[in-house]
Amino acid sequence: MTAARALVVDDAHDIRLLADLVLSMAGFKVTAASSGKEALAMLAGEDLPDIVLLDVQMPEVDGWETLSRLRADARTADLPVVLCTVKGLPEDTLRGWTLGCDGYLGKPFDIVGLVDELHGVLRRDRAEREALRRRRVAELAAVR
Amino acid sequence: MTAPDLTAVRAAATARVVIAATMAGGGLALASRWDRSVTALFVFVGLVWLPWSAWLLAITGAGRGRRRDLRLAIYGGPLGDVAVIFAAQCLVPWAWGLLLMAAAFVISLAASLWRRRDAWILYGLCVILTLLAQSVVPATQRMAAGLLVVFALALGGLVVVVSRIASGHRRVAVTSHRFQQKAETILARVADGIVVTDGAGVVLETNPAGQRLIGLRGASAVGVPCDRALGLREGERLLDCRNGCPLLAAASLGDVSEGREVWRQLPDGRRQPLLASAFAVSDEQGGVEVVHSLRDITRLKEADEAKTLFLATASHELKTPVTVIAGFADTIRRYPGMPEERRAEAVEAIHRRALELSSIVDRLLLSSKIEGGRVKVDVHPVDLRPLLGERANALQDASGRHMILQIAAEPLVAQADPLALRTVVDHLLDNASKYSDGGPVVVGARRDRDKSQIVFWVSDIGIGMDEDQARRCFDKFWQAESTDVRRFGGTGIGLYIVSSMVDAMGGRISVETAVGRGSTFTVALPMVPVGELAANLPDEAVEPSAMTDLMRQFGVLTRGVM
Repeated sequence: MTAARALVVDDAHDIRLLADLVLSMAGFKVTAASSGKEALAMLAGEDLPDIVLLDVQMPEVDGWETLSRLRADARTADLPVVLCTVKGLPEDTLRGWTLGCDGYLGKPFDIVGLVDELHGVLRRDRAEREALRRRRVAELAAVR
Repeated sequence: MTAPDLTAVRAAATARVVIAATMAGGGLALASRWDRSVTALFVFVGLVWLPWSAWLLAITGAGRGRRRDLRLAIYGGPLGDVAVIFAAQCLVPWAWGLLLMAAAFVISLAASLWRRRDAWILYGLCVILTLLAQSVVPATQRMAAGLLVVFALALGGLVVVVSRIASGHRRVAVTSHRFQQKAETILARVADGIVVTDGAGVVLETNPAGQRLIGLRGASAVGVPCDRALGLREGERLLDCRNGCPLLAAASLGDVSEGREVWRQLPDGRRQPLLASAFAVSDEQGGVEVVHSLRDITRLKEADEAKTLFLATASHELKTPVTVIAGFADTIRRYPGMPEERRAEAVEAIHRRALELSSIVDRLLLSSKIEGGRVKVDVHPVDLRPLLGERANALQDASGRHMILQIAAEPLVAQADPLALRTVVDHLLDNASKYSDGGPVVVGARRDRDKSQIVFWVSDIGIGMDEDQARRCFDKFWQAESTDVRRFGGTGIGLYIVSSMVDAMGGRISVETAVGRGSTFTVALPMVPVGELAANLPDEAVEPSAMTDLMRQFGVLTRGVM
């Protein structure tokens, strides 16, 4: 089995370092981007990673915008994206799932939880991910 | 002087003129029928009493009523009456019955208008004059002694009864006058807008705060329907008061005291939040008037929103360092065999973020201390030059940011608290380097002899602020960027702390800024006069810098560089 490739997008240098360290130890092949803009540029080519770990609060192009653009592009519409953010309110989570994320991880995160989350998302096929998204949106909308 | 007095005085003066005119006119017209003494009385009335009474009436006339004139009319009227009665008692003693009645009437009038002591004096005068008149008239025309005693006693009784009733009335009048004045003052001074409408919602009256709230630029709101004058909305729904005030309906259901949060659109499009309540009072005709009380809660709402924003921002700001610290610590724990250089990176990140966390917590504590009024500054003379130089160099070393110093080469001794001053300088430098877009940061200081101040400033050529942002930047919890594309972290309390510290030291802080051109924060502190030698140093002793010209070109420094 080849190593899964993860793209870590976060404007904080040390968070990128931490995710890189943790995911590398867990067998991922990690690349990093320091902004949504940089991430979109990296994802513009043919060579896509297997999963994206995406921060929300970033200068210029934030995580919401990045996710929307990825979902709007046919090439990246199915690319698994896990949002990883300090924004943990129900409305934030709902927004993430509505925009089409495949996982929502709150900061501060548990490093084992991070690895498990990414593995979990990668195990699901497209239909399962779609079903999970619908379920989460329904649950969160009900909470509101 | 209360209103009922004035009315009574005018009524009495008018009656007096009518009686005098009738007596003088009628009496003299039929003069041939009377004997000489009667004619003499009518001449006296016509020549003395009528002009006197007419003059008293004139000075109490509508639109006049100066305090002195009123006093004159109040006292002059009955005195003139007593004089006429005395003349009549001498000239027509046979009409004693009529004259006693007149005396009783005059004494009653005086007792109702005068102070009680003065009424007694007039009573004494009246009795003495009666006795005097009795002594000059022929013995056959004198009254019986018993009758005189009864007359004196009856007159005294009148003084007692009438003055008691009158003083009771006066007390009520004074109390109600005071109460009215108090109510008017309260209405005029109270910060809440009071708007009274009739049952159909048409404005009847407003207090000044209500008028300001309605803001019809001087025009009166009276007669304007409530929904047009106020245009209160609850949620998105316009409150419709045509079928009875909706606020009143709510109040009658039991939430009288709390009021309801409503809002109205200001002419410039902003929403003005108000706390509104209403209650009904019945008017003179038994109809219903609705009194609306409206409190502008804009500042409260802003503070509340700022606090909510602060909680969200602060928790976000705390979460990032905690993520790094907890994550790396856990990594080190779980993977003991990790490469040494990655381990060193992790430890370094933990250390840096722990310091950041501690500084965030310090700021939060400081801001809560400021809010609780528990920050005491201890001011004494401090020379700003070493402090500014040292802090600027420290920031340059730490951030690699280019610092330009424009510090006058003379003692810059201000009244300040060294620790508070250091906090202020550090925050301003920190902010400038954070927002300077990679550009240089200018730190300057000079003396302003005219104002006896030491002035220092920190400039950047970064993103700058618009007018609204500049206006609010010293507010607590405020941040220029509130969306997720924020370029800069922070809790939004830095400048609040800075301005509070400057205030506490008796100084002033201001900002000059423009979007895209950077900001200059200027702090002025009270100057400590230094010795003769230092005072003679030239003001323009500052190191010239090529960068200064560049900064000027950017429009950052709007003042001349000293």
